[in-house]
Amino acid sequence: MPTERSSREGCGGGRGSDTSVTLSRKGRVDCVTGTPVRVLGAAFFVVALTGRVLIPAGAPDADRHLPPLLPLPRLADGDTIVLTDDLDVRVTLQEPASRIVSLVPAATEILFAIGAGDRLVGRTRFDRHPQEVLAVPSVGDGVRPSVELIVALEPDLVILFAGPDSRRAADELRRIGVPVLAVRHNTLTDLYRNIGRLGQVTGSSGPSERLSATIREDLESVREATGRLLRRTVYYDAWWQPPITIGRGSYLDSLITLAGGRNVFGDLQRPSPQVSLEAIAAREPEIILYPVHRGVEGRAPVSERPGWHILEAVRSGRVRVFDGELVVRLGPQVAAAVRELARAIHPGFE
Amino acid sequence: MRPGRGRPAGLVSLAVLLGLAVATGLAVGPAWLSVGEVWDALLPGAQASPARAIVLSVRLPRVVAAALSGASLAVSGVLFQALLRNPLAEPYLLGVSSGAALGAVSVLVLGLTVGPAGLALAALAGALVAIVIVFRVASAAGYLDTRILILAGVVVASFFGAGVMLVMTFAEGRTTRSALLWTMGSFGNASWGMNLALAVYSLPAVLLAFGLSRHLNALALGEESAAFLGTEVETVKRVAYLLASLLAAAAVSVGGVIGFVGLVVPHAVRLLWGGDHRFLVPMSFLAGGALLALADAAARTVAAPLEVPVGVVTALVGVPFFLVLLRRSYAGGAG
Repeated sequence: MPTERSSREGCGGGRGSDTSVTLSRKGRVDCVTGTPVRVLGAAFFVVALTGRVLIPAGAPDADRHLPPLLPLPRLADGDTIVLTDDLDVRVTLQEPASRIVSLVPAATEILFAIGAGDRLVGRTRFDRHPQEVLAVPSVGDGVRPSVELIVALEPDLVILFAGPDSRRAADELRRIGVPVLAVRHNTLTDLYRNIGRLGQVTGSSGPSERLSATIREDLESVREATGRLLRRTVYYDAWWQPPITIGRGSYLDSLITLAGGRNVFGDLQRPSPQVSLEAIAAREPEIILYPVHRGVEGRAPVSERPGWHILEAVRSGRVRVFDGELVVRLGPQVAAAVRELARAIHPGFE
Repeated sequence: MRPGRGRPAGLVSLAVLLGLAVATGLAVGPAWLSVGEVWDALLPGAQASPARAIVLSVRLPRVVAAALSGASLAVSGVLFQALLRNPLAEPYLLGVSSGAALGAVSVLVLGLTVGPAGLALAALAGALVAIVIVFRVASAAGYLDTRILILAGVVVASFFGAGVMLVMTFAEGRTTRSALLWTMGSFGNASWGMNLALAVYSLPAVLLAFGLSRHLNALALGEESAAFLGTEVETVKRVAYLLASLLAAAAVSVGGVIGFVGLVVPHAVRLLWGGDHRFLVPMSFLAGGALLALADAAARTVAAPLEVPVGVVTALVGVPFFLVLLRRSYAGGAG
């Protein structure tokens, strides 16, 4: 809640604010009461800079001001938020998160869609949607993230992918006392679940339920429309050296189905299996879906690749170029993504 | 088996083996075609069909690329082992592969939209840079010092290897897959244009290497002895080094880094038929080609529709075979 944040920033003369102030970064951390997380952030910063734990000079009784490792539960508050994340860890928040670092681009987008975008204080370098997100500082890749960079942003919630690459960071952040929400985000089910979770942690359950309902209705109407069309077999060209496509484990497989197509590698369990040209030819896709992405690309047009003309779809010019930017992320725009796919698979759709 | 015996028969059987390997490469793949379908596809004037397209446009260029690369790598290994008189010498020892890898990986990671031919050229350029640096350092004394050659080569290899790691650090997920695929070897990008370039470049080099056989035999006795026997040691060393490097560079540009072939094929041939280079060169050529053509067929097929890196197959299948051969040949202390 923005009001909460501003009141905290003013923080006033509270207990202990005279002794343990050792660090002033751009005048922002000038008092340490109220949010243990912040003190820890500052402490971590000092440790990171000097390589050891500094006891502030002139604070003989500094121990008294060290915050507990985890925020003490506030009793009788009633609105403590408790949920279980996809690493099976129980996440407990005393109040709705107001300083969020999101390392999951889709979660970032959902936050904006449910009106909680102004609580975002950190993102990955891959976040591009919506436009406002570019004003938020980036902490880099998102996978194997830098704990130091994240803590410096003083978040009260970090959202990251539940996977082996971010497990260490998740453990470390929790140890420091920063709440972490680790999420899987691979399927439509994950999307709905994460919209619900983000509504919960930001105290915006109303908007998140409305968002889920809108997405459900949109998808249902596209499904109905494409259900009347002949289902086409498609090959999704995710990468070409080696050829990488999508399997059943990817949400794109379900989006293609909703869009009135059938993924020729839908029998493969992995989300992005590597295949071979000959295997593609053997499955005789009617259409090749060629998503175009912004920025550095490096993928040769299908018709210019040696050998690819053996595919009937290439010879007959059924390579369908479409806006990949809309499709590569599983976010609030998912219905628009399915429409884009449906137009690529069925020319003249809608 | 006593080395040296049955060499003409050995040559013939290796040629047959190469033929069988090529046939196998054409017959198998992730799309299951019957032998009849493959045969029909190969007949001139056959009707256009998916089977024909798969056999002629996907399998045949790959088989040819794999065979040519394997042959080049094996001959390159023969030359390096003779030149350095070191059983550990192999085509990639002196930085050719890391130079090529840096060229290729840089192009991939920068996201330059180049076709496979552009990628091969970038790899070739990287390999040539490494070769020139090593050669210049090693001939600083006025003659080609093989000790300095090894040292400079290994050091340059580490330098370019570090460059590859640096570039990979900045790579994004999918380009990393391309780069990784390249550094483990694959003939997925083979095309007729590339095969033609490889043939034009490799076959004359192999013939030259064959022409050097007598001098390579002399060199095996040591540089002084070779000089006594009338070999122009310096010229032979330089030519051998350049031929070996260029062969390795050509192979690595087409198929990426495929280990094992260049190290072990010459040793295997030597164990079976002796160290006379007049036979060692052509026999290694045939055996290397056969091995890599078979390995590529397996790489395409065993995990279909996925592809296994061909270098993984050569090592996993080739090393046990070689160890058995090594043990048998030296069993009982007989040399």
